Amino acid sequence: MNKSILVVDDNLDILDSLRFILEGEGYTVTTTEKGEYAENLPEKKGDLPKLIILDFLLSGKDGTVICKRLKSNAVTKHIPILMISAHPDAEKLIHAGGADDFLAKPFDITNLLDKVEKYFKRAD
Amino acid sequence: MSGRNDNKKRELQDNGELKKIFQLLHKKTRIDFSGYKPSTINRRIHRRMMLQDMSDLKKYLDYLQNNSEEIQLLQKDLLINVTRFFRDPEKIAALKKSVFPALIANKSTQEPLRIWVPGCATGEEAYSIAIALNEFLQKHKSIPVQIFATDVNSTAIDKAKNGVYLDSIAAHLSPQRLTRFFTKVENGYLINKDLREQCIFAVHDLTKNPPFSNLDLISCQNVLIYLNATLQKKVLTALHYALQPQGFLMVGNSENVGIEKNLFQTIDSKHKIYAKKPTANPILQQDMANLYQDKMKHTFSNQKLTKMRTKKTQSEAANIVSRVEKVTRLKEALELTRKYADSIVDELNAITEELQSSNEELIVNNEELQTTNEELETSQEELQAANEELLSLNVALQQREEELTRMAAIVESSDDAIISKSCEGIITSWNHGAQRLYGYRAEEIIGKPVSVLMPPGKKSDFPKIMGMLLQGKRVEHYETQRMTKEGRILDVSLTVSPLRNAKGEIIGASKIARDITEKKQTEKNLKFLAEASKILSSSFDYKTTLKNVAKLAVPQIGDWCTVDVLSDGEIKSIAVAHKDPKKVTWARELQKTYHPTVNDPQGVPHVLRTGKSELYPEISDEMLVASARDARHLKLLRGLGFTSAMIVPIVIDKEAIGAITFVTTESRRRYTKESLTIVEELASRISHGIEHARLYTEAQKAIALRDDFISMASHELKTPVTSLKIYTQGLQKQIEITDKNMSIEQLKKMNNQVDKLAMLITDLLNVSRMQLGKLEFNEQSFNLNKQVKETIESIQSTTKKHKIIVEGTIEKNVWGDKDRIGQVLTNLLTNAIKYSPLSDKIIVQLSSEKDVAVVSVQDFGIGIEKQHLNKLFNRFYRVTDPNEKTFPGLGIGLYISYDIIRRHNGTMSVTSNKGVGSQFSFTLPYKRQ
Repeated sequence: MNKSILVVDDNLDILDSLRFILEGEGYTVTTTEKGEYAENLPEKKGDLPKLIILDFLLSGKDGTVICKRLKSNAVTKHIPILMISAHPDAEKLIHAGGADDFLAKPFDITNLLDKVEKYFKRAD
Repeated sequence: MSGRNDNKKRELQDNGELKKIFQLLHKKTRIDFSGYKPSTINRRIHRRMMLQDMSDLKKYLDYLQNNSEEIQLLQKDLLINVTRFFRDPEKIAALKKSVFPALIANKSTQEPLRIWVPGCATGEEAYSIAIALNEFLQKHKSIPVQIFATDVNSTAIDKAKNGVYLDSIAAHLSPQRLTRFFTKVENGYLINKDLREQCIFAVHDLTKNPPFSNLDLISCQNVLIYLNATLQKKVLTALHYALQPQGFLMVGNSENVGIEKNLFQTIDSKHKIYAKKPTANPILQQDMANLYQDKMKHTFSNQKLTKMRTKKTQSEAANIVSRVEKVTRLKEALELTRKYADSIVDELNAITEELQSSNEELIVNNEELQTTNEELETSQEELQAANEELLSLNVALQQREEELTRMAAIVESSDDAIISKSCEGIITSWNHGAQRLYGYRAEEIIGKPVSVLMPPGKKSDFPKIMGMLLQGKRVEHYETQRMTKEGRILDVSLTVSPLRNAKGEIIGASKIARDITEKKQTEKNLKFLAEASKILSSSFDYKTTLKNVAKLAVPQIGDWCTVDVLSDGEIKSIAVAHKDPKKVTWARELQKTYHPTVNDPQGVPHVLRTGKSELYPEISDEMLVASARDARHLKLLRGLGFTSAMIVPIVIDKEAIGAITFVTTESRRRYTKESLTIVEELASRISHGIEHARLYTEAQKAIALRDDFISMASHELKTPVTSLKIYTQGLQKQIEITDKNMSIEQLKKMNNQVDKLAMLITDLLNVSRMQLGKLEFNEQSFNLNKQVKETIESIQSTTKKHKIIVEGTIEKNVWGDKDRIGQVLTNLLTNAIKYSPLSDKIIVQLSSEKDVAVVSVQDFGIGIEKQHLNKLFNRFYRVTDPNEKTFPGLGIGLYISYDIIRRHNGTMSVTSNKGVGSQFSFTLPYKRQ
């Protein structure tokens, strides 16, 4: 079964550490610093990720805008989006974008893995 | 006799009124005038009536009954106080010659000489006698002198007691006498003390009060002439009684003691000096004379005389017989002689009778003459009285005139406007102050109604003020408004007093007007300032504030108010307010078409350049001509009717950012230095208001910036914490699975994150330390090349994309804290990397100048907009831009770096071009400074 996850964050350290932990759990992880990559997913050929972990504040991009776009596109709207942010008000702000879930940085990886696992289980 | 006839002609229709007048006078003045000569009384009353413009005695009596002042005046007139020093020098000389020697002959040096001067009036006669006597005694014998001087008129006595006489007395007194017996005082002469002390003045009515006694001399001049025969007798008897046996009496030249000839013996008929006849009591003597005559008639009869004769005949009988013949012859001869004598006697009788009749005629003539003389004397005295009255009136008049001149000068020079007006409101006088205040000259306003000075709405002032005056109310400091010739409205304070004629009727009013426009204006100004302060604190937008202030300033401060501000080197009008909204449009047009330019030599641009106020108390047409740019401009300017103007700058941080212009037009008000002070105060308050608003806004911004910083800082701090947490928890899992190689890799990364976290925390600490001035330096001389190299190596390891290239070297060691310099360099390099994501190189240039080493870090990234450059080194400042807002960082790196370099006595600067890249440079001195 395809256990692919797309992680979008402008901080390389975050991407690195998440890849490390998620791959350790057996997921296929794609990471990117660029919001555009996620934004362009509907037009992308090939497999779509089963879950997107999306940072709220990206360099040059607003995570909620990307989220909105993916959720309004027939191709990508079924992909669950888990938003993460260190912004103190992020939890309130991200709902506008239609994200499925939220984790405030810094988070406990148990929490993260539980949530990720939950989405894959549902997909199964 | 003619005088008497005249008197008859003048005689008043008396129906008992005279008697009533005498009663009234007696009651009020305690003097009984009923014994006074009717002719004098008539003349005097007639004179008073003429003065009061009355012809009916009854009317005069009524007037007299209701007017105590008139009673005094009449009394004064009836008691003729005609006298002067040495009025009749000959009489005084006669006294010296024939009376004084006789008086001192029988006196011891202790026994005083007692003299009485009844009817002394104001004392001149008494003092004259005293002077003569003193002169005489000085040459002969020193005897104390007592002069009793009396009069019925207490006012006259008071004057005599004072002993002060007008300068004019010098005409009647020799300089020697003046020097010896008088002291010069203001407006006259004062009787010397020793002379004054010899004279005892008292109010005494000769016709009523008991006389003095044991007097050596009585000088009673021109008293008797006013008295009728009965009173004359009474007075003379009293005077006789008063004299000591060898005493003397002197009366006036036209007076006689003949009416009582038994009492006095003539000594000097020319000078009317008499000696007392030695009779015990004049009244007793008269009686005895009568008694003696009666006895002679009845007791000593012819019988007794015959008896005496018979006795003598018996003893000489023989001789008689022998001589009968002889007798017979003699008888015959005697008969002849008798017949002859009889004829002579007859003749003589005829002659005597003739003589007697002529004598009687003569006596009659003499009496007539005497009467005429008395009349003349009286008239002369009256004339003299009138003359002296005139003289003193003249002096009073002169003094009054001087007073008037002085008053007029005071009125004329007064700063206040002093004018007078009739009851009908016609202006009758106008001083210089009035001209200054109202603008009218006296000749153009006198005769005009006072209402021309009253602005519409204040016209009712006149009836109101006159009404108050007529009710006897005081009109003081009545605050109202008046209008000048030019139509300017003034605030004035009026004090109005009634003008009265001699009868006390109000015939007009005098008015003192003081210009309180400034005072009123000051009150208004203070109120305005208070209101303006409220407006200033009501808004933080200074343009709104200025607009509101401009609205408030009209019409309180001016008819116009405009506000201009300097905006990007251009003068921009932000508010125009005018009393008349129509004119606002006009003014806007004026400003639009003829907009002031920054280089204008005066007006708003000049005020903005200099930061100094301008005051134009009066805007003349020449000024308009000079400032007009063309004919249409001039027409517009003239049409606005400028009167006065002032412009004040609004200064913030010593720089004029705007100006407020106040102009007066219709109100014709003129600005003064005081007005300028008020608006300068206003401008200063506006400046403070704007400054406060700016500071408030800045504080708000700073607070917002700090909030941003805190959220940013927490965000930034959370990022490494997030990955640290992930690694730690991952490691935990790894260790559980025991994959050591992987764990080492993870630990390295964890360590990096911890370093980042530590650096962020250090920066935060540094910022707060810097703020408190506690950032410590460990300074030394060090090799900057080496420090640069080490820092680059450390940074290079964190980036794969960028290549950091070093160009040049620094020849000498520099002075400073090498770790802090490394921190600066790190900051500049990480910034260069962060802000040039699309570039692949960073150039570090090292160069040596004379005293300093120069290090610059150049990137080829996004660059910085010009507007941000000067704020770049501010605390928490992050270049915000819609596309750049998510560049991570606390915005404190450059702030810290700048401060570190500054405190090393170096400089930090930046050059940048948007889209091209930035170059940050700093200098470091070689030596400690």
